[in-house]
Amino acid sequence: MNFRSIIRITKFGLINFWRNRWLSLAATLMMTITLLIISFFVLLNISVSTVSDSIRSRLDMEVYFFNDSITETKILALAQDLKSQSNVQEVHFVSKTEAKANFQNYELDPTIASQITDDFNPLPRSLKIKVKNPEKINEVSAFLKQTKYADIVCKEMRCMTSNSNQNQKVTQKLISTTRFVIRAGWGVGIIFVLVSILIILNTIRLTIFTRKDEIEIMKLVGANHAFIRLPFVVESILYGLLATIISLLTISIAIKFANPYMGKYLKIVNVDMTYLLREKLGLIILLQLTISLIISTFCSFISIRKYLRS
Amino acid sequence: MPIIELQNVSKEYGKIKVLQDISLIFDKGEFVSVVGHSGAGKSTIIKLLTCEEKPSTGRIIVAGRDITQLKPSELPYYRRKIGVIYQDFKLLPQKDVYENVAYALEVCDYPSHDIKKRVVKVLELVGLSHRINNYPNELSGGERQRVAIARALIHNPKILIADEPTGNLDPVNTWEIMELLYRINRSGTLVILTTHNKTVVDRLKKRVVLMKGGRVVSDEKSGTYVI
Repeated sequence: MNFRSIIRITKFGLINFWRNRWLSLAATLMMTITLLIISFFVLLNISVSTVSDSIRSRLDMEVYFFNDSITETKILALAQDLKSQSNVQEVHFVSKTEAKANFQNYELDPTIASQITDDFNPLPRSLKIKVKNPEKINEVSAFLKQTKYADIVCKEMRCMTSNSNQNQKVTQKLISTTRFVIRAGWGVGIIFVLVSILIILNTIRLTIFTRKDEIEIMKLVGANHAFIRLPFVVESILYGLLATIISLLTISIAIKFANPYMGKYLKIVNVDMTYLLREKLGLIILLQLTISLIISTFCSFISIRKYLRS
Repeated sequence: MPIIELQNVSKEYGKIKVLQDISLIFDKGEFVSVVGHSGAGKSTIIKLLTCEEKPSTGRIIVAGRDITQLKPSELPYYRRKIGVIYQDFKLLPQKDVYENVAYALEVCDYPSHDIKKRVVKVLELVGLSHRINNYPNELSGGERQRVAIARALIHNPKILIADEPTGNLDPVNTWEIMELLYRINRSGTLVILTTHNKTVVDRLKKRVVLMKGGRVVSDEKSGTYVI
């Protein structure tokens, strides 16, 4: 096939798209709906993952030192030991002064907050431990329960870690729930993609069916299969391109409107969907283009094959 | 000099025998009317000649080549060498007159300037220069058939097959189309016409092949339609 034929085939595809505009519009809208469904699931999964990551990042552990006689050197030595653990990402020492500042930063009754002064500060020093994998937070607890730290993390103190066994159960539940939501999201997403492919296949089949007489005439005039098939493929690619543009615009507008409400209802974490969309725009465009072009080309090839054979 | 030769051709659809042992020779420059009642097998012969169907038995030699042995990939090239016109015109509804005729050349990868020159010329020949930008649904039956003839002639074919071209036309348009076919034949093109219009056949005074029940019952060099 030479350059002239490619130009002609593209021209035929564009002209046919315009001359069968109602049919083209119907097919484009079907594909738009498909892309919207797929994009919705992708965005949902991205936001669930973000929420999940945000929650997991907060699943840290704090060790309080109520006994003020323990020297800071010993605490910092413990911090160093903790840092060498594979599951520990970060250890931060909170001094009494910092603990007071944190306490006063809480929105408390000022009369209570003013009770803590430099001279009277019963707030304990602590170590804030951020773990890499919250599911293995138990390992850090076990590490702290070793006898060599018995003098600083005393028996009674061990239960004073913010992430005790009771919390551990809640943590595990939260993690497994988000994991389930993500997996279920992908599962439902895949089912929707398959259903959408069937819908698009049927839409394109229908558009080609309504023009089966044209295909017959083209064959009788002496057009070869490529010359008959490719303008239909060009038309289908146009459906895909237009559907990508329409669905991207729809998603952007929908997110712009939905974003304030998401912030309102998902107070637990700060999910900025417009930021997410900007961040993942390239991925979404690529995903939509790939899906729409592959599906439309594949479906038009399959649909026209029957009429070319007969 | 034979251009088309049907050798013991039969066609069956299941147990129904549509053509039975047909042997015919069509020479260059002939005007042959294939006549008969509905179901006589006229259209089946046309379908065999255009390779829309394959015979159950027998051979069909066109310009020295057995077209029953053509591969699917060779069919478009064969169809570009013959001109065919149909009772229902078979025009592309989404293309205007110019585009319908030009399409037959575009599929053969002719350059655009050459296509334009040829299309304008052939539309002049069939008297449709003033309808060049009209769509098929804006034309009368006679005009549509002229577009189909223009498309069939665009390759200057040696063979023109007309399958009941006047079946949907009024008497005036019928004679205009027949006049056109007659002129095309005079330029040396073999015209094979299937019809059941007795007046047309009788007035032509050309070769008449009469078919009945899938068989050739008479083949007269200068015949009439004997019912």
